[in-house]
Amino acid sequence: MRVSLKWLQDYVDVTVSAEELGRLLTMAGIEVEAIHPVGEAWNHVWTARIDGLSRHPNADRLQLVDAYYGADRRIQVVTGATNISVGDVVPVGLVGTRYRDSHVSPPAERILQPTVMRGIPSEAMVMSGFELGLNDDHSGILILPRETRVGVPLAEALGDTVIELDLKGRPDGLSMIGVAREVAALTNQKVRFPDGDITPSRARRADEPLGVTIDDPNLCPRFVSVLLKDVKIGPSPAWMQERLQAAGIRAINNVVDITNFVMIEWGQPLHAFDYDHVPAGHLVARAAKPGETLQTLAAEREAVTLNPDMVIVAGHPDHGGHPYSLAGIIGGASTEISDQSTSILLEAANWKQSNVRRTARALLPRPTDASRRFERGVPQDHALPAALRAARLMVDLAGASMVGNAIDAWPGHATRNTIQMPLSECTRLLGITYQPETVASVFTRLGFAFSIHGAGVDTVFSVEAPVWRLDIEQAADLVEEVARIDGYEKVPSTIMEGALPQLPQALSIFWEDAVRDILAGSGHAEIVPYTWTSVARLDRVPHASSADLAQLVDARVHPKVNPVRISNPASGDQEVMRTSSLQSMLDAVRAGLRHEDRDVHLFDVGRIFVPQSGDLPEERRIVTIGMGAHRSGDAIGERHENGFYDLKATVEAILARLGVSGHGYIALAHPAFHPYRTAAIVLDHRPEAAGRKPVRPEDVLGVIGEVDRAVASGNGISERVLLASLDLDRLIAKARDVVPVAPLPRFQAVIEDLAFILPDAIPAERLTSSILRTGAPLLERVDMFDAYTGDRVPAGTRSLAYTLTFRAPDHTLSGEEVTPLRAKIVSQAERQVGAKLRGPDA
Amino acid sequence: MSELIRALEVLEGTALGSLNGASDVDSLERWRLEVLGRKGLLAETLKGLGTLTADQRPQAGQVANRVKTSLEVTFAVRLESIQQEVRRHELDAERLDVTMPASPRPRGSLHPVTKIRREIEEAFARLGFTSVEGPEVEWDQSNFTMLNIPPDHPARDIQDSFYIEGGSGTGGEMLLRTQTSPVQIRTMLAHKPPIRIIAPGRTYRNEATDASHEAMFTQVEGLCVDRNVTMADLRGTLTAVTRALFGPDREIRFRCGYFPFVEPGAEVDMTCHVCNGSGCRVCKRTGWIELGGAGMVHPKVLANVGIDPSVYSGWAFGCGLERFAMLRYGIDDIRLFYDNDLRFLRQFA
Repeated sequence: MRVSLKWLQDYVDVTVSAEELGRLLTMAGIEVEAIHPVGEAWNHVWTARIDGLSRHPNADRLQLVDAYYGADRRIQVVTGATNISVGDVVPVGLVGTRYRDSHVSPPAERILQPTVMRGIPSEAMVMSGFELGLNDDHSGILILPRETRVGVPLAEALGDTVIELDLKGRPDGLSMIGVAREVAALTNQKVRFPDGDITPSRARRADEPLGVTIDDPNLCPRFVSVLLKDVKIGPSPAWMQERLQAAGIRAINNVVDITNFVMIEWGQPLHAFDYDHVPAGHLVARAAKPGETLQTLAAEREAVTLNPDMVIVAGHPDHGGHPYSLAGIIGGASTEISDQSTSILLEAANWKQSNVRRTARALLPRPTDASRRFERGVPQDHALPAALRAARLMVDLAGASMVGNAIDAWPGHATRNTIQMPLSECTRLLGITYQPETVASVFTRLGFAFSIHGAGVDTVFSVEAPVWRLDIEQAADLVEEVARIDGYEKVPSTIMEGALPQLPQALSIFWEDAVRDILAGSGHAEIVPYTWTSVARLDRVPHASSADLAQLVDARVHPKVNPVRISNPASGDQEVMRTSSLQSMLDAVRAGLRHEDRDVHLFDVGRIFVPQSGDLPEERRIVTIGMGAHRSGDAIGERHENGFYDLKATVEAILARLGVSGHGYIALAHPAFHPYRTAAIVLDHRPEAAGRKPVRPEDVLGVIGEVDRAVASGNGISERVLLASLDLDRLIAKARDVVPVAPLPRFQAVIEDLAFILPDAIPAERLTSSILRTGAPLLERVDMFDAYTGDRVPAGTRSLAYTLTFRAPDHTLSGEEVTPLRAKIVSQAERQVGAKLRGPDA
Repeated sequence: MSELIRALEVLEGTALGSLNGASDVDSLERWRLEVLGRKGLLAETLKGLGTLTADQRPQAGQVANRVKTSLEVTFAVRLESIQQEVRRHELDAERLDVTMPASPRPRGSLHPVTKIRREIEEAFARLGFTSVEGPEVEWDQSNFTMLNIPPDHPARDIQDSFYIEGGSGTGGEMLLRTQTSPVQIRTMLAHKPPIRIIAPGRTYRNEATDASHEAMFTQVEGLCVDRNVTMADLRGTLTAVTRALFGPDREIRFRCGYFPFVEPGAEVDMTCHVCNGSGCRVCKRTGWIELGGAGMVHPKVLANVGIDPSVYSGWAFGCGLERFAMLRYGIDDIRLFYDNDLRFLRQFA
């Protein structure tokens, strides 16, 4: 809300500078967003007195103005205006003045240049409110009050500063009186309430009916109606226009200006109906009926269709019961005040917050000044004083007469309770022990009615919840009042003394971070992609189509489901929550390759969202690794190819950190990946059973592989790219942070090297596993040290060479013990997997 | 006798001469074999000792020992010097230019939000706070209603939300959480006081994106509930954490602030870490930097989760992690966080 200091001074003496006032309000919880003097743009506009008026010699419609603007400065101005007379004080704009030109449509911003009008030079202009940007009145020159100082810049003569306040949480702050109360409390001043004294000019006659019906006091707790006749529509006085202008509201005419003025003054929105268009002068506050329509006064003036959740003011059922206005939001066209209106029905009512809010949101592009106030809450008690204040202003400024007394229907009269605030509550919540006098002084300054019981630390304050502070409901609210008025800076700095809680740390965070450290340590950069995306993007990574292992993999890390859809996305790229992290990783790899031709090694530890019927989606933790085709070599300028096994090493590092073992890799055919360079990663893997026993869905961890070339290029990548994606939740369920340490061996090992010829169709792990199982328990480890494919082995086979380490826990092995074991390993390898011992090269 | 002595002296002279001529390890070895070897010149010459009489032997023996020692010592010195020469040559050949670039090795990096989150978690952990998590897609109930923001409350405007299509169920409508406060709710429903937690996590608000606003961002909220927990404790805690992150000179200031789920509520500022409060570009010449919102947990919120507000009190605070990271690392545009530009990310190696 824009608060004019000049206007504010009508209600409270401002005893500090604008800046200091801004600081006080900000510290007390009413944040000042900006402070600016009024009329910053009026650089070349002065106040001037008209000392003479004469006819333009060459044009009947023009006048020559002899304007005096102080210190013996005079200027002759040519004008077409007719509303000025000698002695008036008016704004005069000199060359260079910025003004709004109403002669073109839409009005344009211009800068005044010297000109010659019908032979008479003119180097200035007398200005209308419209030209100054003050109001919409371009019918005549803005006449300033006679007492205005002549010969000073206009901004100085008007002498005002506007403070813009952010008033979330303080409904009463949306009014000048509310702000005045706050300023009074903070600077220890008194509030002056505006003049609302009025007695009816006469009683109502029989032909001047007036009535109010409230259908449901829950929707409309109070409705005040005042009849005003003999109204003369015209401009409102300059002082009111200035104030409205400062508040950011354009002056229209006296009746509209008065309703706006009082709304800002009291925070009570008012509405004026044309009495002659309200049959029997009877207004009904009721819920709308399904399908009813109303043409509103909103900018578009379109007819809106109503529903029973919306509250309206309507005519009496005997007269058709037509909707007249959207209650608390905006008026309707059928009862609108026009320049010909002479009789006005003034409404000052109270409306249910939630209905006003829902209705305004449903029907209008943005809230109105009225709806913003009602949805935050307007005190019921303000309806009558605001109505009478407006009536008084109508009488004073629009020549109106008030006919009969106001009707005040208040069936929903809410009583406000008394709040008990023990002094100890301040100590308990703030850690400050106040003197009772300090608290009493704060309540006094705030204008709260209270009584004191007990004494010392046992003092209890009984505070009557003030009617204008709907936000004050309980003791904690009063504690805040005391703290903010006495000063938040008085809150000391201490640390909790209680016992330490026994809340376990979330393991998920621990493991996520452990995985991050492994990946960052192995040269990968962490990315954080948006968790929302578009269906089109998700579709850039295809799903498995047949019911096989690939589908189990998809179900884990790339599920083919209808994604969680956002109903009000800000853009198409935010329409769904991601169901897979593969596409966002490809995007990041592509972006990385724009800048670097190697070492584009990335990872993402994040969530995918898998819908669950009737419940929140499953948010599955996924770790995703992406690698471009190349990495730096050991020497300068060298560039190595990244391959499947490089990525596998990284995956193994993660699994080792998590203490997961017994997992394995199964060759996988998946449409998103290379047919022969891709694997499913599974738990509880037994190589000897692989292929014979189907993989259980609950054992699937994820996928690792080279992305299919067409899929890569569909994602804008023209080189090989490697991806791995694992279900981290599943891994965390298996993770062990503490693995018991094995004792160091005490006896010497026997080392043997063996090379086998293995058919290409048999996975290497089956040979390894055969050796290990046969050699157990003396065979401690098996390490492959050479793999060869080529001319020296039969076609369709390869040579795999291993170092075997035999060791006994309790003695040094002898050759006699190892020799038969070695022979058994060789024979079993042949029997179990068809591997032949490779002799010396022929 | 004098012949033998003379012969030894001649041998010494000749051998030393040829030793000088030996310029590498090989010729030196040949010289050793030839002169000092078991069948070398010295051994041959010393055979003559056997022909001497007993009274001649001591003198001849003395000379023989002297010559032998002289030859051996000179040889050793010579060998050492040549070996040194050889090593010098070898090392010389291995000379490096230490100013050449290091071997290329890809360096990993953690995302700045991860880094700042850990810093904050560490600072709070020292005060007994554990980190907890919750879902990003939440019920309206946990995100708003339980937090004293009932349906149609104007405070919902401050946090414009993304809703989920067809997403309604036990907790009202589904939405992308606008704050991590629902984690506070879930924690208080599951655990009795004393509670000290922080809840870091992704949050979403439907607002226009610019250099300081992102629709997806990360928050960290803290919650402390126990008997006699006060706003002074809140100030003490935030002071400790701010100092851990931004230096020991930081001061914390509370301004009165409105958030529906706290009462009393506060906006939290710290003295600017760049200018120390004297006013600069970073703090917009105010000397203060806004950190976030805080306050005493609203009695209605405590009651909503079954904690008696007349027995227990609690404080809560919330702030944006990106904002902290921007201040800490001097990042000027929030959009960089989710752009995933390697040139940005690599700076957090």
